Amino acid sequence: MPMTRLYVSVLLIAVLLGNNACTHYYYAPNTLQTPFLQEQHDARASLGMISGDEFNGYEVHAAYSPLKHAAVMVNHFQVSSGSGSNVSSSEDSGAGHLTEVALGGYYPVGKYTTFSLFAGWGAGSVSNNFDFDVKADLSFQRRFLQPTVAIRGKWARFGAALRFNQLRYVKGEVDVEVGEPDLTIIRNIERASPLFVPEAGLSCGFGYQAFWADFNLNFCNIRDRDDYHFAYSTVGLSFSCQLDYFWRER
Amino acid sequence: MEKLRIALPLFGLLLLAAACNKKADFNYYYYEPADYALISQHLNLPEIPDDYRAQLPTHIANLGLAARPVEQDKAILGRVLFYDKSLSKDGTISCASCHKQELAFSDNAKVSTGVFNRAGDRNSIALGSVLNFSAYYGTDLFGPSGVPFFWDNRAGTATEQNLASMTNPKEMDMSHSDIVSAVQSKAYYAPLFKMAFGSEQINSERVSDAIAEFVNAIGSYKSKFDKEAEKAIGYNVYSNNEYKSFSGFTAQENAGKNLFLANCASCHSPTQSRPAKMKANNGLDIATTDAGVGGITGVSADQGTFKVPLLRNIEITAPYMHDGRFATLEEVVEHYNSGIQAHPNLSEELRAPGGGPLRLNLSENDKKALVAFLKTLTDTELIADTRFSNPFK
Ligand code: HEC
Ligand code: HEC
Repeated sequence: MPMTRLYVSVLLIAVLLGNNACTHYYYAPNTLQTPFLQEQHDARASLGMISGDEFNGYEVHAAYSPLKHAAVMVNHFQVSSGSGSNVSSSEDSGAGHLTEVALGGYYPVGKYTTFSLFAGWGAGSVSNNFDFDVKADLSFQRRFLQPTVAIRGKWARFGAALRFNQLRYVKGEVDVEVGEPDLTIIRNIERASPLFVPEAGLSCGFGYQAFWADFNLNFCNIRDRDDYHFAYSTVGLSFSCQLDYFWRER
Repeated sequence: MEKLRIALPLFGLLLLAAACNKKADFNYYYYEPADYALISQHLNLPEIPDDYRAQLPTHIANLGLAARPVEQDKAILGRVLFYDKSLSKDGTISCASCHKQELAFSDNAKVSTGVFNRAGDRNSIALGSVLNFSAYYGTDLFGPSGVPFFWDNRAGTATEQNLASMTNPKEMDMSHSDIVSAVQSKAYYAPLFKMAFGSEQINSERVSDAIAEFVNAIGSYKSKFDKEAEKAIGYNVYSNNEYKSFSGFTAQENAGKNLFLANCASCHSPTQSRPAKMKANNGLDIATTDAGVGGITGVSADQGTFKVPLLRNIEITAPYMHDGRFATLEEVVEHYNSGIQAHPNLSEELRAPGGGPLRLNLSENDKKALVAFLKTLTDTELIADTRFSNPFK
């Protein structure tokens, strides 16, 4: 676990120091959560920090199985970029959030492995600030199908997921003074929406009984990604609590 | 219970299907809505501004000439100021009074008339005769090799130039404070200044800066000549194949092009881009009446020399020469053919081997061909381009 933290910190620092030229992103993948569910009334909640190229944020996630083989999942994701502290409002910055719910089924195979499939719907927005109060605010909705495989042992766990998103931009308020290349990028997004965005996620975690720490890697791959300024990847470190541990008879 | 178990994921799928599938609908804006409402009471400015950045054609860019960057917001403001008559002492004259778009931004009067019907000294210069002010004009970016403004080359930059026009008693006759109060009296200028300069503060430097940006954005490069030169990309001075015929030209126009290259290009530029000489005497008179460049420099070799104008849009910028003495292109060609005067500073290019004035001895067909070629330099897109039209309602 210290190794993971070290890795995340190094990444965070690299990201923070590495880049002065600010890229404005119009989408970033949140963590593809792999709820480690095995039976009815399994529940978990997690809180994580997330980071990508030039942006950072946090994420909350909860999953609960009200019925055998069926589950609900709620995710919220919030990131921002740009140095807000030391400079005036004329500084370049950006922020985005996404909230989503998903319903799904899971099927445990053997003692350690669970397959699951979630279908979800979410809404979010991204707003980018440029010089002189020049803004581009976009809001979007996303629906997705997410097949997942999760493997859980006593001390460690591993999850892999794919997420097939249909990303639909709903509204945009765009000051044309955002200038190029962003104006072209935004027009590309408007023209291409709804976009098909496949994503992949890996997570591995360590913990014991109720408390776990997971390291997550997420990728979004879309054709002609540079035409849309979508962030390619995010990394995250989350801490989760398997709530069922407290109410389950052992 | 078992039913519910199946129902839950199904419900999820339903959720997916239900999400509506409308196309994205983005709203692009430039002005704050209240500002645009105010502006629109008086002006016809597009809600999303026009792009004023110049893109030089390849046959010009190949010569190593680069487009001067144009600041959009300033050009938009500059357009309004350019057409604003309140920038003159008697409220009757704007820049556009002597630089009319339909005439490629020139004036059809022999000498232009300014405020209170005061006659000027010289013929207005067609702003649309210049390929693109941004290509090479201005001593600020191009140093001594930058082409200066006015018939006598007395202004180094477009900013210097337009302040001179605004304050010239024979043109607009305004003092700097007159300019500021005229602009301040109109509410719609405040948001335009804010867009252009980041604050609403109005002063004469900003006024002049914005007008210069608009003037620098006016570029004429879509004439028949340009389209043909673009097709024959190798056409430039350095590749020495400028005598190659243009496929889209008539035989007469091609003949005219060759006559132009042989007799005129040494001063006016073979590519209609950058004048080959900055100043010259083309033998209009035997003695100097208007000292031209010499009046500014005081150098005797400059007496009676004038800016060598580019000939773009020459068909629609009559009358010709600094004093508007020729009404037609035929008269101009006849001047070069048989009328060159032995002015002491007559330029080399127009002297015969013995030093006397050159006689071209052109045939009637040659003269017609030369005129036909000059008419291929007309850019009809420029004079219809709404980016440069009068924005006042
Ligand atoms: C009263 C008529 C008149 C008005 C008004 C006027 N001009 Fe001119 N403009 C002329 C004349 C005449 C010349 C040539 C004068 C000379 O060379 O001495 C000229 C020359 C120029 C040139 C030089 C072009 C070159 O290639 O050298 C520019 C640029 C120009 N004017 C822009 C403007 C602008 C901008 C305004 C408004 C601020 C303006 N003019 C107002 C008549 C006018
Ligand atoms: C020695 C250099 C030189 C040569 C060679 C020359 N010109 Fe000129 N041309 C000038 C100058 C200088 C002016 C401006 C003179 C003035 O107004 O006092 C001028 C003006 C003109 C004008 C009027 C432009 C206007 O906007 O009013 C036309 C048209 C013209 N020339 C055509 C030609 C043609 C056609 C030829 C070849 C037959 C030619 N020139 C050869 C130097 C030259």
